[in-house]
Amino acid sequence: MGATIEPRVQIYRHANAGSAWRAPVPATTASPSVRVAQSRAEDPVAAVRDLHRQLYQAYAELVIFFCCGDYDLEAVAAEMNSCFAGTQVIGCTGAAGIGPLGYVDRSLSGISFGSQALTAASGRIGGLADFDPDEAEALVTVLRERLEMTKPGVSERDLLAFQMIDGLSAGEEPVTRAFQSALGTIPLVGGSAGDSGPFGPTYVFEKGRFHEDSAVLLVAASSLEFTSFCTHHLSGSDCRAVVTAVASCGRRVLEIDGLLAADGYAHLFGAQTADLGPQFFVSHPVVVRINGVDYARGVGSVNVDGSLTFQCAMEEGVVLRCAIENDLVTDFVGSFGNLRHAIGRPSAVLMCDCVERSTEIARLGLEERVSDMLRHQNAVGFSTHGAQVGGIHVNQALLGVAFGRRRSR
Amino acid sequence: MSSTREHEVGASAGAESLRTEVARLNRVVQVLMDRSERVTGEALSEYGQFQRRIVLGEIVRQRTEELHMALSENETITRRLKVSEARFRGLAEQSLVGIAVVDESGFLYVNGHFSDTLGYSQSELAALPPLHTVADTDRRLFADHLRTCQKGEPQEALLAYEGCKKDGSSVDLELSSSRMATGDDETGLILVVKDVTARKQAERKVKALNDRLAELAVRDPLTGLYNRRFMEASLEREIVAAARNGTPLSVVIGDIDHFKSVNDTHGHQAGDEVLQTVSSLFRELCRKSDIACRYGGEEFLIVFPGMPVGLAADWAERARQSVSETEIVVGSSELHITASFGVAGFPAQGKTWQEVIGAADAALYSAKSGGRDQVRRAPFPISVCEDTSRQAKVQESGRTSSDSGLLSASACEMKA
Repeated sequence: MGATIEPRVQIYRHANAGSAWRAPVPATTASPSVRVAQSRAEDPVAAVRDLHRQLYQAYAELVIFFCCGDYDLEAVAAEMNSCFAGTQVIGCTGAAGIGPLGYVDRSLSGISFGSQALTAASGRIGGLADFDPDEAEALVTVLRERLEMTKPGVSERDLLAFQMIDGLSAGEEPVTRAFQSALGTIPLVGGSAGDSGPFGPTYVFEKGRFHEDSAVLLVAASSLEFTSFCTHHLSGSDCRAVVTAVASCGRRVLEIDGLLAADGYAHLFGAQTADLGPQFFVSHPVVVRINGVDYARGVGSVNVDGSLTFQCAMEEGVVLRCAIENDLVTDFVGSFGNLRHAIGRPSAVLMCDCVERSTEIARLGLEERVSDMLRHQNAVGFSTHGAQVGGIHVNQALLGVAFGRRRSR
Repeated sequence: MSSTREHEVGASAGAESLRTEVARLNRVVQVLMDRSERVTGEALSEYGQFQRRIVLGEIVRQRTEELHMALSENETITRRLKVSEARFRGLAEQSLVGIAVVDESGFLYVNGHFSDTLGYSQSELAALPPLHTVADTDRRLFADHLRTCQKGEPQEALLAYEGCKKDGSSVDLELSSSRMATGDDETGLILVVKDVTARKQAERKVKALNDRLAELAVRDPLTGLYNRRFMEASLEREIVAAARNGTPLSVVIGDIDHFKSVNDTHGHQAGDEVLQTVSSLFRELCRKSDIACRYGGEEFLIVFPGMPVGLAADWAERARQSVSETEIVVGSSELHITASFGVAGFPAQGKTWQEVIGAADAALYSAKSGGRDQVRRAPFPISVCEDTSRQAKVQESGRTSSDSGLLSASACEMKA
């Protein structure tokens, strides 16, 4: 399956032309540039309508939504196409939605950008199982050309990229790397689509349909201040172990410290192999240290043969460090403080938060506090199975892009 | 015994576990060594790419940061340069003098005043050799001036030259130039040019006025002939020259007969008319080198450098005839007048200008006393006749009451 990169500019780019089928600009929308919303409605149609009501802008340029995999996706897609007809809509499924209501397991959340705030071009590549980097490069080229057509002479500094990728494809690393290489200095952030169950199918939404085994890429020119960010609350201790055998696929670790991977992992934390499980991996994470910086490496599952499946690439000889968990709330506060310092109070924060973090937040009983903070920051996003920033794939991290006020020219 | 066996079994189990542990650790070391050797080698694994991306990303980030700093510094400098450039350009454009920068290739910059002065647009000047803006006569001067300046030799304060405008007309300019460094090895010249046409015109007017004033100082205002002061100075000079060159010089004194009665009968305006008519008659008869002056009231003196006294007497005779044949119209009347002439020559009748004039004066007296309307040459040395001649003059100019009787009907005849 090749890249689906047919131009659809003509569909989306007449926002300012005041087409007859668009509602007139409501008098109350003084600055409708960015809106975030979330719905808890159980019924997919009701949820989409609720979302539409909150996200509506007369001249919407783009809608990104995050949908819990429990919803009837066919119904969601149909209602999305009906409500947001004529607007560019992309989205994906997620383990949990993040929005004004906080972390909500079964919810539909989303963000809409007015045409004054953003000029967007999006596309998809499918068939990640046989991923060809040339397709990624071709897609980036087409999207940039489309942007150049609709907003000629846009400065590269005003461009950003956002991706949503099938989290079960295990293709995040090469895809992210290929996108980022083609994008050059344009910052790319994104997340792996998830599902409420550990192995349920994950989907990305583009051109009115949910797709498997695909990645959606958005390249946008922003007239708002923006900054991308990445943070996590883990730091490596001096307790280390070496990955001594890895299966050829690259993510299944067979041995740690010359022991069966499960035994080695448990031994590293002074635990019993029987203790291992999703909850254990969330509360006992490992990191790798590169250039003095720690990167969390998440474990997805322990297998019957005693091997461990990581959520990211591994290789023989990699040194794992037991991670020390710092205070997650402090990390949140610090991160948002940095954002505010960079762009002022965010008008919206589009974020990808690795699912382990929300599990940990729930375990620590911090949901209320964190939800309050997210609401205050106009955050919207989803719980991911890994996230991508600057061409690398990371786990147990929070990352995204924060938008500020309109750039003064 | 059994305990010994147990011990042996335990020892062998311990040794076995130790061997396993050693093997495990060897495996770990082996893997680490393998990876250590692999990192820089062949195709990278996914993890290797992940690691490399981070390392390279950090390098790129640092370099980008350095680049941004350099760029921002560059932008600051460029901005300052622009401000400075705008400031100086503004200064130059506002200037009331013409400013230009030239090098071998031509004009690098001209301000509005410079181009306006020469009647070109700034872009036209950019394509024009600087010498084309200079009048043909001054091109060499201009080029020399620039060459001297280019060499860095000390300059004369200002170069005054004639500029050639686009329409072909000329403009008087004053140029001050200095060298400026425009680049590494390049130097240009700054030309500051002032349009002094108005000043030059004023200067010319003043000069003409001065010339006229000087002329007025040596001329008699009524007749336009030289005045007595000028004549005396000229005659002294001419006599010195004649003495040195051994050339002759003659003096003729003419006096209008019965002039007082003209004034008395017809008024001073008629008298002035008579004086002007006689003056122009004399001027017409004179050569350019001759010096004709109004010597007294109705008395004229003409100096003839290089002319023998005989020829001067001939001249006097022609003048006499001319006067007596001329009718002078005053209002509705016509006047007929006559004049008497005395002629003397240097060196025969005097060695100094005073002696020569004295001799001519004496001859004039002789002519007056001989019946007027005639020419007399001075036949004798002046010292003998000086006193008598002065006496006659005093009587003639009417300072005694008896001279009115000398007016003859033939000399001054009224015609209705």
